[in-house]
Amino acid sequence: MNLFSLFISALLINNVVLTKFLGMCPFIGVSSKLSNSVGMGFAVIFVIFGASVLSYLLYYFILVPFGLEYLQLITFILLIAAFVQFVELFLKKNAPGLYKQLGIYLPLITTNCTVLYVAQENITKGYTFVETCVNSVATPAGFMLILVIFATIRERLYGSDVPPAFKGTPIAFIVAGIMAIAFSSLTGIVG
Amino acid sequence: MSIVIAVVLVLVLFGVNVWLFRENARTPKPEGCDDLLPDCTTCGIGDCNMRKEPLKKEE
Repeated sequence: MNLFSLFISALLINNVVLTKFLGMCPFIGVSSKLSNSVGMGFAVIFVIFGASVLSYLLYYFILVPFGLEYLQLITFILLIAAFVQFVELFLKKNAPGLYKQLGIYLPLITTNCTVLYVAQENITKGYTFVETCVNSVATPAGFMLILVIFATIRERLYGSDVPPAFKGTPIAFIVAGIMAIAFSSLTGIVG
Repeated sequence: MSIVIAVVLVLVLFGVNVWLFRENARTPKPEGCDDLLPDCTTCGIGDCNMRKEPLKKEE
Protein backbone atom coordinates (compact mmCIF):
# COMPACT_ATOMS: atom_id res chain seq x y z
CA MET A 1 0.00 0.00 0.00
CA ASN A 2 1.17 3.50 -0.81
CA LEU A 3 2.54 5.08 2.39
CA PHE A 4 0.70 8.36 1.81
CA SER A 5 -2.59 6.52 1.27
CA LEU A 6 -1.95 4.49 4.40
CA PHE A 7 -1.28 7.66 6.39
CA ILE A 8 -4.39 9.50 5.18
CA SER A 9 -6.51 6.38 5.57
CA ALA A 10 -5.45 5.81 9.19
CA LEU A 11 -5.63 9.53 10.03
CA LEU A 12 -9.00 10.46 8.53
CA ILE A 13 -10.94 7.79 6.66
CA ASN A 14 -10.58 4.84 9.02
CA ASN A 15 -10.26 7.06 12.06
CA VAL A 16 -9.99 4.80 15.04
CA VAL A 17 -12.43 6.78 17.21
CA LEU A 18 -15.14 7.65 14.72
CA THR A 19 -15.26 4.47 12.63
CA LYS A 20 -14.28 1.75 15.11
CA PHE A 21 -15.34 3.44 18.35
CA LEU A 22 -12.12 2.50 20.12
CA GLY A 23 -10.59 4.63 22.87
CA MET A 24 -13.96 6.07 23.87
CA CYS A 25 -13.00 6.30 27.57
CA PRO A 26 -10.20 8.86 27.11
CA PHE A 27 -12.15 10.41 24.21
CA ILE A 28 -15.04 11.34 26.51
CA GLY A 29 -13.05 11.62 29.73
CA VAL A 30 -10.14 13.85 28.68
CA SER A 31 -11.90 16.05 26.13
CA SER A 32 -13.40 18.55 28.56
CA LYS A 33 -10.44 20.95 28.15
CA LEU A 34 -8.30 21.67 25.10
CA SER A 35 -5.01 21.70 27.06
CA ASN A 36 -5.72 18.25 28.51
CA SER A 37 -6.60 16.81 25.12
CA VAL A 38 -3.36 18.06 23.54
CA GLY A 39 -1.27 16.50 26.35
CA MET A 40 -3.18 13.24 26.10
CA GLY A 41 -2.83 13.24 22.31
CA PHE A 42 0.95 13.55 22.36
CA ALA A 43 1.26 10.88 25.07
CA VAL A 44 -0.92 8.51 23.01
CA ILE A 45 1.16 9.07 19.84
CA PHE A 46 4.39 8.35 21.72
CA VAL A 47 3.08 5.23 23.49
CA ILE A 48 1.34 3.72 20.45
CA PHE A 49 4.38 4.21 18.24
CA GLY A 50 6.74 2.63 20.79
CA ALA A 51 4.40 -0.23 21.70
CA SER A 52 3.63 -1.05 18.05
CA VAL A 53 7.28 -1.16 16.99
CA LEU A 54 8.16 -3.39 19.97
CA SER A 55 5.18 -5.66 19.27
CA TYR A 56 6.23 -5.96 15.62
CA LEU A 57 9.78 -6.94 16.62
CA LEU A 58 8.51 -9.41 19.24
CA TYR A 59 6.18 -11.05 16.73
CA TYR A 60 8.58 -11.44 13.82
CA PHE A 61 11.79 -12.15 15.77
CA ILE A 62 10.50 -14.32 18.63
CA LEU A 63 6.94 -15.59 18.12
CA VAL A 64 7.16 -16.55 14.42
CA PRO A 65 10.56 -18.34 14.54
CA PHE A 66 9.41 -20.50 17.47
CA GLY A 67 5.89 -21.10 16.09
CA LEU A 68 4.24 -19.24 18.97
CA GLU A 69 1.89 -17.02 16.98
CA TYR A 70 -1.02 -18.09 19.21
CA LEU A 71 0.62 -16.12 22.06
CA GLN A 72 0.23 -12.86 20.12
CA LEU A 73 -2.57 -11.40 22.23
CA ILE A 74 -1.25 -12.16 25.70
CA THR A 75 2.34 -11.18 24.89
CA PHE A 76 1.22 -7.91 23.29
CA ILE A 77 -0.85 -7.02 26.36
CA LEU A 78 2.10 -7.73 28.67
CA LEU A 79 4.50 -5.87 26.39
CA ILE A 80 2.28 -2.78 26.21
CA ALA A 81 1.78 -2.72 29.99
CA ALA A 82 5.53 -3.07 30.54
CA PHE A 83 6.30 -0.36 27.99
CA VAL A 84 3.94 2.13 29.64
CA GLN A 85 5.46 1.36 33.05
CA PHE A 86 8.94 1.82 31.61
CA VAL A 87 8.07 5.14 29.99
CA GLU A 88 6.59 6.43 33.24
CA LEU A 89 9.67 5.30 35.19
CA PHE A 90 12.02 6.84 32.63
CA LEU A 91 10.18 10.17 32.65
CA LYS A 92 10.11 10.27 36.45
CA LYS A 93 13.88 9.75 36.71
CA ASN A 94 15.23 11.57 33.68
CA ALA A 95 12.70 14.10 32.41
CA PRO A 96 10.68 15.67 35.25
CA GLY A 97 9.46 18.48 32.98
CA LEU A 98 8.08 16.05 30.44
CA TYR A 99 6.62 13.93 33.25
CA LYS A 100 4.73 16.99 34.48
CA GLN A 101 3.25 17.46 30.98
CA LEU A 102 2.54 13.86 29.96
CA GLY A 103 3.00 11.65 33.02
CA ILE A 104 -0.52 12.05 34.33
CA TYR A 105 -1.94 10.59 31.11
CA LEU A 106 0.22 7.46 31.07
CA PRO A 107 -1.95 5.43 33.52
CA LEU A 108 -4.97 6.38 31.38
CA ILE A 109 -3.25 5.10 28.23
CA THR A 110 -3.00 1.56 29.61
CA THR A 111 -6.79 1.45 29.43
CA ASN A 112 -6.84 2.75 25.87
CA CYS A 113 -7.71 -0.21 23.65
CA THR A 114 -6.39 1.67 20.60
CA VAL A 115 -2.85 0.73 21.66
CA LEU A 116 -3.60 -3.00 21.39
CA TYR A 117 -5.67 -2.48 18.24
CA VAL A 118 -2.82 -0.81 16.34
CA ALA A 119 -0.31 -3.45 17.44
CA GLN A 120 -2.67 -6.23 16.29
CA GLU A 121 -3.63 -4.47 13.05
CA ASN A 122 0.01 -4.15 11.98
CA ILE A 123 0.37 -7.93 12.24
CA THR A 124 -3.00 -9.05 10.83
CA LYS A 125 -2.72 -6.78 7.78
CA GLY A 126 0.86 -7.98 7.14
CA TYR A 127 2.44 -4.51 7.12
CA THR A 128 6.16 -4.14 6.54
CA PHE A 129 8.28 -2.37 9.17
CA VAL A 130 8.00 0.99 7.39
CA GLU A 131 4.23 0.60 6.97
CA THR A 132 4.00 -0.34 10.64
CA CYS A 133 5.81 2.88 11.60
CA VAL A 134 3.54 5.01 9.37
CA ASN A 135 0.36 3.34 10.63
CA SER A 136 1.56 3.62 14.25
CA VAL A 137 1.96 7.38 13.89
CA ALA A 138 -1.10 8.09 11.73
CA THR A 139 -3.63 6.20 13.84
CA PRO A 140 -2.85 7.96 17.16
CA ALA A 141 -2.49 11.24 15.25
CA GLY A 142 -6.07 10.69 14.06
CA PHE A 143 -7.07 10.03 17.65
CA MET A 144 -5.41 13.28 18.72
CA LEU A 145 -7.02 15.23 15.87
CA ILE A 146 -10.50 14.07 16.86
CA LEU A 147 -9.78 14.62 20.55
CA VAL A 148 -8.65 18.21 19.94
CA ILE A 149 -11.62 19.02 17.66
CA PHE A 150 -14.00 17.46 20.16
CA ALA A 151 -12.44 19.35 23.11
CA THR A 152 -12.75 22.63 21.21
CA ILE A 153 -16.44 21.97 20.51
CA ARG A 154 -17.09 20.97 24.13
CA GLU A 155 -15.40 24.14 25.43
CA ARG A 156 -17.81 26.16 23.28
CA LEU A 157 -20.74 24.06 24.43
CA TYR A 158 -20.15 25.14 28.04
CA GLY A 159 -21.19 28.66 27.08
CA SER A 160 -24.07 27.56 24.87
CA ASP A 161 -27.73 27.39 25.65
CA VAL A 162 -28.12 23.61 25.76
CA PRO A 163 -31.44 22.14 26.98
CA PRO A 164 -31.02 20.85 30.55
CA ALA A 165 -31.66 17.23 29.59
CA PHE A 166 -28.78 17.33 27.10
CA LYS A 167 -26.18 19.09 29.25
CA GLY A 168 -22.87 17.31 29.83
CA THR A 169 -22.29 13.85 28.40
CA PRO A 170 -25.53 13.51 26.32
CA ILE A 171 -24.70 16.50 24.11
CA ALA A 172 -21.11 15.24 23.88
CA PHE A 173 -22.33 11.93 22.46
CA ILE A 174 -24.59 13.74 19.98
CA VAL A 175 -21.62 15.85 18.84
CA ALA A 176 -19.49 12.70 18.50
CA GLY A 177 -22.20 11.13 16.34
CA ILE A 178 -22.38 14.18 14.05
CA MET A 179 -18.58 14.17 13.77
CA ALA A 180 -18.66 10.48 12.78
CA ILE A 181 -21.19 11.26 10.03
CA ALA A 182 -19.06 14.20 8.83
CA PHE A 183 -15.88 12.13 8.69
CA SER A 184 -17.66 9.30 6.85
CA SER A 185 -17.97 11.68 3.91
CA LEU A 186 -14.19 11.41 3.44
CA THR A 187 -14.49 7.78 2.35
CA GLY A 188 -12.96 7.24 -1.07
CA ILE A 189 -10.64 10.27 -1.24
CA VAL A 190 -7.61 7.98 -1.48
CA GLY A 191 -7.40 4.71 -3.35
CA MET B 1 9.95 -27.70 23.37
CA SER B 2 7.82 -24.85 22.03
CA ILE B 3 5.57 -25.15 25.09
CA VAL B 4 8.59 -24.55 27.34
CA ILE B 5 9.61 -21.51 25.32
CA ALA B 6 6.02 -20.20 25.46
CA VAL B 7 5.86 -20.56 29.24
CA VAL B 8 9.30 -18.97 29.69
CA LEU B 9 8.38 -16.07 27.39
CA VAL B 10 5.13 -15.32 29.24
CA LEU B 11 6.85 -15.64 32.63
CA VAL B 12 9.66 -13.31 31.53
CA LEU B 13 7.20 -10.68 30.29
CA PHE B 14 5.13 -11.04 33.45
CA GLY B 15 8.27 -10.73 35.59
CA VAL B 16 9.38 -7.62 33.74
CA ASN B 17 5.94 -6.13 34.35
CA VAL B 18 6.05 -6.86 38.07
CA TRP B 19 9.61 -5.51 38.37
CA LEU B 20 8.78 -2.30 36.48
CA PHE B 21 5.60 -1.82 38.51
CA ARG B 22 7.54 -2.13 41.80
CA GLU B 23 10.31 0.16 40.59
CA ASN B 24 7.70 2.69 39.50
CA ALA B 25 5.97 2.56 42.87
CA ARG B 26 9.29 3.01 44.71
CA THR B 27 10.49 5.92 42.57
CA PRO B 28 9.35 9.24 44.05
CA LYS B 29 7.55 11.66 41.76
CA PRO B 30 9.52 14.78 40.72
CA GLU B 31 8.99 17.96 42.72
CA GLY B 32 5.70 19.67 41.95
CA CYS B 33 4.12 16.52 40.51
CA ASP B 34 2.74 15.04 43.73
CA ASP B 35 -0.93 15.71 43.17
CA LEU B 36 -1.18 15.86 39.39
CA LEU B 37 -4.49 14.58 38.11
CA PRO B 38 -6.09 15.21 34.72
CA ASP B 39 -9.40 17.02 34.65
CA CYS B 40 -11.19 13.81 33.84
CA THR B 41 -14.58 13.46 35.45
CA THR B 42 -16.97 12.95 32.59
CA CYS B 43 -16.85 9.23 31.93
CA GLY B 44 -18.99 6.88 34.00
CA ILE B 45 -16.28 4.64 35.41
CA GLY B 46 -16.69 5.36 39.11
CA ASP B 47 -13.74 3.36 40.42
CA CYS B 48 -11.13 4.82 38.05
CA ASN B 49 -8.23 6.14 40.11
CA MET B 50 -8.01 9.22 37.90
CA ARG B 51 -11.35 10.50 39.16
CA LYS B 52 -10.97 13.44 41.54
CA GLU B 53 -14.44 13.22 43.04
CA PRO B 54 -16.50 10.07 43.59
CA LEU B 55 -19.57 9.60 41.43
CA LYS B 56 -22.79 10.82 43.01
CA LYS B 57 -24.85 7.86 44.15
CA GLU B 58 -28.36 7.68 42.71
CA GLU B 59 -31.02 8.13 45.34
